[in-house]
Amino acid sequence: MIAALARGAPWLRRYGRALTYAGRDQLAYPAALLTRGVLLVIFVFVFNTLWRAIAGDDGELRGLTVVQLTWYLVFTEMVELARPTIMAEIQEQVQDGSIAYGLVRPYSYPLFALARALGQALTRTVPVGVAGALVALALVGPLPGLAAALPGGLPLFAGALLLNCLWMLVIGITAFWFESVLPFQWIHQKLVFIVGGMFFPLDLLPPWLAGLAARLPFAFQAYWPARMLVDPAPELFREALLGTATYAVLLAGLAAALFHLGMRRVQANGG
Amino acid sequence: MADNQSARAAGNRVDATRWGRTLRLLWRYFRVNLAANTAYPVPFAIQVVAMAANNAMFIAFWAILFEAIGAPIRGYGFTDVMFLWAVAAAGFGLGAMVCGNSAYLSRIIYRGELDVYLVQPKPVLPNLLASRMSVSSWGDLLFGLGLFAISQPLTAASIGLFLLFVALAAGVLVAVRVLYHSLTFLLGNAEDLAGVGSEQIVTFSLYPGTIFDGPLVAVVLHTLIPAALVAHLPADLFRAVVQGMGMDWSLLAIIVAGDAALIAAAWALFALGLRRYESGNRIGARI
Repeated sequence: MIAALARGAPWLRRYGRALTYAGRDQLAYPAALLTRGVLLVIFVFVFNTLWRAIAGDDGELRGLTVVQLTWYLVFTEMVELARPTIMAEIQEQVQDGSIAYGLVRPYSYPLFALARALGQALTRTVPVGVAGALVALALVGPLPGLAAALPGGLPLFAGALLLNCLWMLVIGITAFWFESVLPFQWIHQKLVFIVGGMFFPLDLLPPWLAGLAARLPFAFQAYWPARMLVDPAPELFREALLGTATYAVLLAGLAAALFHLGMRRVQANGG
Repeated sequence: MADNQSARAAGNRVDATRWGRTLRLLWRYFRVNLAANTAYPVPFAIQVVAMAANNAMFIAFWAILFEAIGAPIRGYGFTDVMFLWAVAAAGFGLGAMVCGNSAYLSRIIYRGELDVYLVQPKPVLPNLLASRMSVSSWGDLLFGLGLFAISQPLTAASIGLFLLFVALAAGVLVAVRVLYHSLTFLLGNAEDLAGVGSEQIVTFSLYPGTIFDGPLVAVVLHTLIPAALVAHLPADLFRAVVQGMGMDWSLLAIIVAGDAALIAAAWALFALGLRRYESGNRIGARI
């Protein structure tokens, strides 16, 4: 699809290539991909053990079975573990000044960075997803109704990957002002963990908090796609898709605005 | 006979002096690293506060979970889980603060950067481990201490026991990193394995030990991923003490012996690996 888009709009080609090459670069480090898969296996094992200890093997927690809770974590962790390295790359380029080389090239730096981030995330999703599916199958068996849930869940899942990349871009760009942007990533990550519903569905939160959390951007990175895949609610699909699109536009605008401001702080001395 | 005794006494004095020098070296590294890290106070403060806030988010997770289920999880209540968090966070923080290079050993070994440490007139492993301080470790340590202060009963016995477990946890966490990273001497590059292996101790330490049943898991949690030594057994012992059931000295002896065995194994594997180390002919300067 990206290739087709690129054929239709030549200016897109350079970003399509950036995406493809960044994705291909990931394949050069199979051990790193494998490590992410192993991490997912461990997380799913720990949480499956916790859910079984709380609900029993055949029990339920707020209407969700242990099977659904286990697969839910697989889907949310897939987005988290596919997180691109673009934030660290931008920080490094700002710190050592090599960002200057990117600025003079005939492309938009933020768009180029976003394309690279998407390429990294898409490639990382595959081995992580395979590892997650295998461990979930081994622990709880297949997820009932998954095939029917895919048409609604997959677009939201793709949207979650895009939101994750946009967050990393926004946080990376703050390197124009801050020595280390890692603390911002920690905080963002933990907000996704808790109010984004990464560890458990937001339905477990107190009702007043669940309603609020479901409308925050973090939920569209974890709760909504995973919820639509394990417990589809077609009547909520439009709301979830609209929320994802809205936050994607807002974050893209924020990234563009921050980059514009950050550029004022760049001092180039030639050489 | 008298000659033997005086030789032994002289040997003990040498050992004591060597340990004293090593401790002085660690203290000096600590002061220099702290001065270097706080040279830019705002970034330092941001990292410390962010790490503490980062950890605090998980407390929200457990509070929400216990609120939702309304019952203990296999004998662990909210307070017990907070003890796990306090001891693991403070232990991890202390270890990364004093021995911040423990997470980078593989990289130092396979890049040949060990040469710089080998030519210095100091014991290699302590010199290597202490030459870096993790800035965010301050956030972990302060978070752990603060969490203990607000979530646990504060008596002389509970505070003393907690501080002992924090020191032991720090030793074990550093030892396990050394153990796994020393495999780089033998395998070429064990960086990813060491990263995953050592991180999982913290992961498993933060959940009630009683949920992990089965003999295989129990063996793993006492050996390869010694979360039981870091947090689960200390939590059992601590709970008994604060509930007035007295100190279980045999359990304490088991914890200390297990920790000592791990530290000894890590030291031995590093020493063994060092014999296989080939210089990278790297010229470096440590300023």
